[in-house]
Amino acid sequence: MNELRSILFAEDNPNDVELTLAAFSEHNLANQVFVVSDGEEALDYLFHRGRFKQRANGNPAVVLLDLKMPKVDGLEVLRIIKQDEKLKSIPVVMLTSSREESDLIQSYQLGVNAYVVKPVGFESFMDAVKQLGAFWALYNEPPPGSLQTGR
Amino acid sequence: MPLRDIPIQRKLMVIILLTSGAVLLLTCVSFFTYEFLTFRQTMVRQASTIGKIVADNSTAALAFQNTDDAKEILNALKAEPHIVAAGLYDKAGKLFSKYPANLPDAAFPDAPAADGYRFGRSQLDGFQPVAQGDKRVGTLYLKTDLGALYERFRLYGLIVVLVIAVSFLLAYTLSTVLQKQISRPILALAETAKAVSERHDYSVRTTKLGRDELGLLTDAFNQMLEQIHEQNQTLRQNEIQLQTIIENLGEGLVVSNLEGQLLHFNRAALKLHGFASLEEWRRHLAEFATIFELSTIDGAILPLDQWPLARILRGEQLQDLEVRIRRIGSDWRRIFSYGGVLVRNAAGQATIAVVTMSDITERKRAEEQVRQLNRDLEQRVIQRTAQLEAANAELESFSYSVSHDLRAPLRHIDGFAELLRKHAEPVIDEKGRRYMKTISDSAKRLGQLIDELLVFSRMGRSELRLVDLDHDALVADVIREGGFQKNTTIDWRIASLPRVHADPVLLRQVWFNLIDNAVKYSGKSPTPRIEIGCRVGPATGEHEFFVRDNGAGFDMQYADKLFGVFQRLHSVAEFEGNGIGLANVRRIVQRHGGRTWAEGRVGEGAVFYFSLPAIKPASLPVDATLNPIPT
Repeated sequence: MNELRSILFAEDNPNDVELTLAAFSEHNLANQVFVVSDGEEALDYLFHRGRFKQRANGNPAVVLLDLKMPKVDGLEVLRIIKQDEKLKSIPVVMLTSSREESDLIQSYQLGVNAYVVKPVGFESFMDAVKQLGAFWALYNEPPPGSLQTGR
Repeated sequence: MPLRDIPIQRKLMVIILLTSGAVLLLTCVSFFTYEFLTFRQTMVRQASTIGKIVADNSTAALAFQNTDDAKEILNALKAEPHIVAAGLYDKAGKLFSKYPANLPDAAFPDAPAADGYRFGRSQLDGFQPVAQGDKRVGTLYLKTDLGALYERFRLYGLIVVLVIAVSFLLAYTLSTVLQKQISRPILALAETAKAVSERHDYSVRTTKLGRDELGLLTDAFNQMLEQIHEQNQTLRQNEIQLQTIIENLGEGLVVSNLEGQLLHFNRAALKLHGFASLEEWRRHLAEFATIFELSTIDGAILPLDQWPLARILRGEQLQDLEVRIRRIGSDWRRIFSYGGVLVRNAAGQATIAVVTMSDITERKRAEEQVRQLNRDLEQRVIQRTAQLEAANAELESFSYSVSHDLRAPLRHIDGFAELLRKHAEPVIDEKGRRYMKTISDSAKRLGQLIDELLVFSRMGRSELRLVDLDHDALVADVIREGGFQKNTTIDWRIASLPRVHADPVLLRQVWFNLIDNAVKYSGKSPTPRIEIGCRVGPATGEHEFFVRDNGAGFDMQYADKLFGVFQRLHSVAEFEGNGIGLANVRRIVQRHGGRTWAEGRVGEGAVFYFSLPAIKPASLPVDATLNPIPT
């Protein structure tokens, strides 16, 4: 693991955040996860705005988005990412409770890279998050030159 | 008066009398002539016989110039009264002796003429030679009076006249009687014909008097009259019928001649125009136009040449021409629907024009009302649709919230219970672990219920994709793909099903749920049997599909609850399930315009029905035979 692969995780619910991080930590991925609590923060992070003005350059290996978030929701964040020349190559995964067809359709139309419905059962949930983290943060090759360099 | 013009009775009489008169006359003249000639010959013969005798007797007297003998001989002629004079001439032609003696010589010819007998004006003169051997001694002169002749012929004449007179009388009498045989039937015919032609009475009949040609003629005439009478009556009957029909038509009917002169208004037409008397309408179209004004429905005033009758007179055939009519100078306004056509005779020539009209003012008003109502209704539909759409959107957002927000806490309950279990592993006892597990299980179960509720809600909202689908294949697929055939103890009885117009995905769901239920609830029966079929609803004509099992059944008093969401008649321990399947079935069938219902009896099985509106009623087999499913 030469490069530091980071995960941007946008989720407003602290319980979900805790459970998800618990799942990531089982795979020793927790340290690489950067958590924001709404869509606006996620965009600030990606665009180096607000409190992320000073953050190091480079993009996360994957962005995990909850659909329903205060201020700017997941779909809007997805749309902005996929319309931005510099950001559109970042893999975006929807991690959500919604199984609604309209959400699925919209997400894929906007160019989402994966859509994962959070299982209710804890074991399935752990399983899903672990696999998700492992796949995007470990196995998937990100676009060249997009990653952060050091911290 | 020429013969051809005099009455037939007299004509016949004249003909008969003339014919018989001519015949009689000819007969009499012939007879008369014959008699005349014969009598003259007889007179000549008698005179010459007497002459010869007297001449012979006088030979001596002449030869001897004996006057006394001569006188005596001539006196013998007294016996013949017709001989009025006789004279003997000597050889020299000199009167020698005369008879009667006292007659003057001047009464005798001066000298004898040539021999022979010749008729004079009133006498027969005869000169007879008197000879002695070959020697002529003198000449005898005999003068015979023609009185006898004339007397006779007077008599004849009298007889002829009498005969002719009697004949005429007889002929007249006979003909008077006989000519009636001919003239009477003819006169009767003539009289009848006169009656017919003068009084137009075709009911009179001529009496038949015989079976001759005149009888035939009478028969033929009567028959002709009969036919005419019948035809007249039929015509009259038709006319009355037609008149009655026309007068009682609800539709107004106006008849005009080809010049636009109005000839007839039926009752309805009078009423429609508000006329009370003939004078008001017996006019020319042009005059009519001074009373009324016609305009189109949109209000454009029609010039006279665009009036319905004017157009009909130009040969147009009108139908349902809607026109506004207004009485000039009053507030009388109606809307009429006009029709009409030119009436033509058998030769195709136009004879009259017929215009029909009906008052559609009320209808128009009603139509306008209906249109207004429709507009209102449409408006209301738009409003309601908007409301409904808003409600739907709300529902959607609600179910979205349910899907997203309700599941999150569940996940947390389960997640944290698990984390707690791991965290407290060393200190928690068996009982504590069981509690933990119950918390987890309940959360999962609630998660499942929410998922199914969401499916149910989506079922009601997703768009229907109706296609004409093969029902048999669909049901066979459901059974195969659902793995229901694995249970080999089930006796399947599947009838051929009609094609339907339905959403294939949703209908598959219906069949899956119903078959799944049947398999589930008959599972505890020793010989499970499932029947699938279709019948035509006797009242509705709809296709009624059913799935029948011989399983656990249900109590009919709960039949209505079966199709409710989360309604169950059995415990989960008895038969697993979550009570949403039949609710889905009902929702899908309702969206197709059909109905769902069930029949059952505890321990004896259940039948679940759903109906779909028929698309092709003929496609349903009358007697659906039950086929076992091929294995």
